[in-house]
Amino acid sequence: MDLRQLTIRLSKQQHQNCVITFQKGQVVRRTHNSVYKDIMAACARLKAWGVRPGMRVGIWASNCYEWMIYDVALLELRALSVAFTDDFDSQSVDELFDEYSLSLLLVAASAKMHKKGRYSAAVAFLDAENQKVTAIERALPAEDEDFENTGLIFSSGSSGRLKGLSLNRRGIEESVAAFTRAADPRHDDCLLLFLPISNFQQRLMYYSALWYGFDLIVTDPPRLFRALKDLHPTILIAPPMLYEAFETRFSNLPAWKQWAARMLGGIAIRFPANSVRKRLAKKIFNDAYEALGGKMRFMVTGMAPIKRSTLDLFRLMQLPLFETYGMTEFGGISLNLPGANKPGSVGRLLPGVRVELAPDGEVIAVREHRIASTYFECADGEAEQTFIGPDRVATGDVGRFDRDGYLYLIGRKKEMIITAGGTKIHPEIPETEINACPDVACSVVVAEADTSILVAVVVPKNPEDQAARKRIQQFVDEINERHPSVALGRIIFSYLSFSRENGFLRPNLKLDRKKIAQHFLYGSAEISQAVARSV
Amino acid sequence: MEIDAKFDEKIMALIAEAVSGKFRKTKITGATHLQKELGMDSIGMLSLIFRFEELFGLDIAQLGIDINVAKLKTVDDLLAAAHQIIGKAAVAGG
Repeated sequence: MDLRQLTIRLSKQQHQNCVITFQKGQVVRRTHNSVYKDIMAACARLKAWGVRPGMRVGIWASNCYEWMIYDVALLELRALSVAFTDDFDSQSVDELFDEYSLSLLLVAASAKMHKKGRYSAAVAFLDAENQKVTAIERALPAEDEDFENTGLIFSSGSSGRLKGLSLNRRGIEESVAAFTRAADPRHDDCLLLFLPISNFQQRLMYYSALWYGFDLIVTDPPRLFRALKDLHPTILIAPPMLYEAFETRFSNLPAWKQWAARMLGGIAIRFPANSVRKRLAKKIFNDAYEALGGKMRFMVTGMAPIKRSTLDLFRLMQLPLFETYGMTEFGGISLNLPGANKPGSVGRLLPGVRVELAPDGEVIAVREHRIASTYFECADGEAEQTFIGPDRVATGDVGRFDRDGYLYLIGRKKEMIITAGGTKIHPEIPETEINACPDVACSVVVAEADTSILVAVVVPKNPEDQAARKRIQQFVDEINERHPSVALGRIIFSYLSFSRENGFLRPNLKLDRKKIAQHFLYGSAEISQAVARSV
Repeated sequence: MEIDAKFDEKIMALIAEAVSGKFRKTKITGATHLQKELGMDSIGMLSLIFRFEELFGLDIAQLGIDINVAKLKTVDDLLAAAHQIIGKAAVAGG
């Protein structure tokens, strides 16, 4: 793949693949040929507004067809895209122009308020007619002959602070090629994108669809379920919470229906003939198949750990759901695949990726080029900690391989706890054991700062079941007997769920253990107020 | 399209379907908080809204209604939004 050739390749493609979107409630299909024409028209407009190679052009909008068109047009012109996420909602247009040295900003026509301020002449609508738009002339960086740097993106860091990443063209190309080689999409495939395009992962997918030739549905989250059901995608990439919503719906069926479906599903999966097996599963789990459009052949999840029970339910339903692992800075690292899938692992390494495990078990991802060349915005020392060589990234995750080459993530390096006895443990290990208790919805293990005593914050499944507390305590006592060196000193029961709103989950949906410890161990007033505000 | 006497009951039943494990025994009233007391995340809300569209044969986007799920905090907020959508659909349908 060569992003510099994307438009030319699109112009020469013979296949009949489409980009499908919703516009004013109607489904609109555009062939790749017409997508090519729209890209060239966008190029002409950008040039007429004065956009030149090396200029920075911001895109600040929710998902729409034009987002993709202008993004590819900027690649064609060798201008740099700056993709603003929702995190910038509180900033003014003038601030964005000044802070990121923008020459032009593209916004949705519905955001007319952005057409005010000092730079209003350099603000253009993505999806409406524009008059008198003029890009701002700025001192440009040295000529980038090979178009190595294609733009800037932002990512929610695990520290909770937004990080700015400089994109590297060759890293993007290698990442797209690796995923495409592994997932092997066909011309009759159709991939659904609904997460914000400003999150870079989505853009990799449309580069892949346009380059390799398969259908693409671009929608926004509110129309996700309609798109799934009515447009029949075959490939879906979504966070665990989407698949968990299917499990919730299943769990809310009357007990006898669940029992019958599980029993029949268990019988169906044993049929030797694949076609019979599939037909039976479709009949037994008709609601889930229908809700997913009926043609799904490859579903991927990542970004956060998925519940094992969700993976097991999808396996029972014979719906192909696979865990993947990657990092915005690096790109995809590993992926489970049909025929090469071990639930609980994040799969085998993608083509071209190598992983070295540091002495402390940290996953060091290595590939000739990575997606981000560096951070242009981050906390002090973060770039040095992450980009530890020209071809490698320290992920901060601790992992292990099994003998078949499947990668398992154990925990975050910086969340490792050293107990009072000097034993190093990853809190995810005791958490997995506690979560195996049928009365536990979820648990988080933290350590008291002064004594290093381990404390389990446990959310019971049924808050009204008083006897459950005793059973959970007994369950934890048994764990302690098995592992005396990492014994859990006490349990704190909580009926608060962990969410982004109350601050216990980070923007990247991972647990904020520090905040959980501060709230449950020390009753931090600041966090209690945040919890109260989220109600 | 009209709002009949059982309209709110139907919406309550949809909400109950979308509530996950540990929150299932929570008594659902108008003041019940969707996220905190029923554990509904953004995807759960989107799924619920789509089930509502299916149940009443509507397409909210075609009605020109922009629903911000982040602003739907309680069951009462959701009921109010549902009433508003049905009201608009009735006007659009003449």
